[in-house]
Amino acid sequence: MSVFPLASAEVGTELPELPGVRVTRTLLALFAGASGDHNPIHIDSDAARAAGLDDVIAHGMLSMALLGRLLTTWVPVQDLLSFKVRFSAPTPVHAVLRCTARVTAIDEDEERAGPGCRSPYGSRTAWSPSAARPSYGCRGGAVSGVPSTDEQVAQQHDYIGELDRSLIDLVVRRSEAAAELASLCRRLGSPGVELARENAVLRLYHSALGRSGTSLALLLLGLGRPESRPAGEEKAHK
Amino acid sequence: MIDTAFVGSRSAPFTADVERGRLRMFNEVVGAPGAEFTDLDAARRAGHPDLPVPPTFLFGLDLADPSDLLAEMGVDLDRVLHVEQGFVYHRPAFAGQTLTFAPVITDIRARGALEFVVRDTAVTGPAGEPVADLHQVIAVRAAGEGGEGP
Repeated sequence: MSVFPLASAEVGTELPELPGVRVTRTLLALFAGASGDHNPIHIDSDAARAAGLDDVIAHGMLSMALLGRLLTTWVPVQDLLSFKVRFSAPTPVHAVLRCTARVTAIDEDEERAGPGCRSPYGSRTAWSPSAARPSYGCRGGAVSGVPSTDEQVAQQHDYIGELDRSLIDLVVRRSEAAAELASLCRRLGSPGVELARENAVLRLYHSALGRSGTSLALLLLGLGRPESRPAGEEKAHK
Repeated sequence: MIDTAFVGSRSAPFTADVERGRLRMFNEVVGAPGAEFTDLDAARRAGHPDLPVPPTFLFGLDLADPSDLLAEMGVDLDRVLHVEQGFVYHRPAFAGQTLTFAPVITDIRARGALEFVVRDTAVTGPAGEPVADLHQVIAVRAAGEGGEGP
């Protein structure tokens, strides 16, 4: 997605600035809906005046969301470790937000993982995102990290574990659905197992996964027959 | 004055579903940083199980807290200004997950005419694994006082 040479970034490297974003009333209304922040001082000028403001002001989180977009255009979202901003002054409607970010530090020392950071990290990069020109908006800091190989391996183990739990859940649901189908068929007086259907399942798995797919399909079909389902398997995987 | 006895109060933990449609809407309004934020195939090609959650999106889900601590503290929304927001990320979140939010008021402090309220929310995933910590600071103007905020 990115061609920005993140790996060769140095202290002082600037990310390409986002195109300026004009804070229109339409944008504020859409952001209220999309973000879930329905405070009327952002969308209703009567409410804003009642609160002592001249007019509606932008959600602080709109400028932060734009900075998040800037950062994740160049830094993979899963590598972002922390992100914080201070909102310096309310951003008025019609303002143009200019979003920039600069590298402020690069730390290759994985022993010094900051507070709350995922660790260990091969290297970490600190950013100074800013949506503040000339006097409103927000500025702050963010830290991203490139996972060490160990961390990547651990993450991949976690991910495969999640996939296994999902697969077991699906297998249990498939077996339950097959048992339900069999009992429906019995009530209708038709045979519970239709060989043509089972063959179609075998072909489906074979075409997707090859010969191992056929073996897998046979196992699944077996699990779907009531007599072969192990007792007490309900939710045992949880 | 807000009663400082509210420091330490916790909302009952609540859950929120991360919905693909809402993520797409958010990215449409803010601008998507890349196709993997809006397109499921692109997300999977990038190694994600589903559409990833943008860095600030969880703030909006935290707002859905059904127990309204601010109202309990006697704070009207139109006297509130958001002065600081922080996120610490423990693992990425994705569409399709049900996340649990556990908010706690960690500080209430008066400074001049303003009172500052700090709310920290721990966000956890389906198996209780930490996803992110949200840190929010708001400034509250005294009731009945108009004019500019900070």
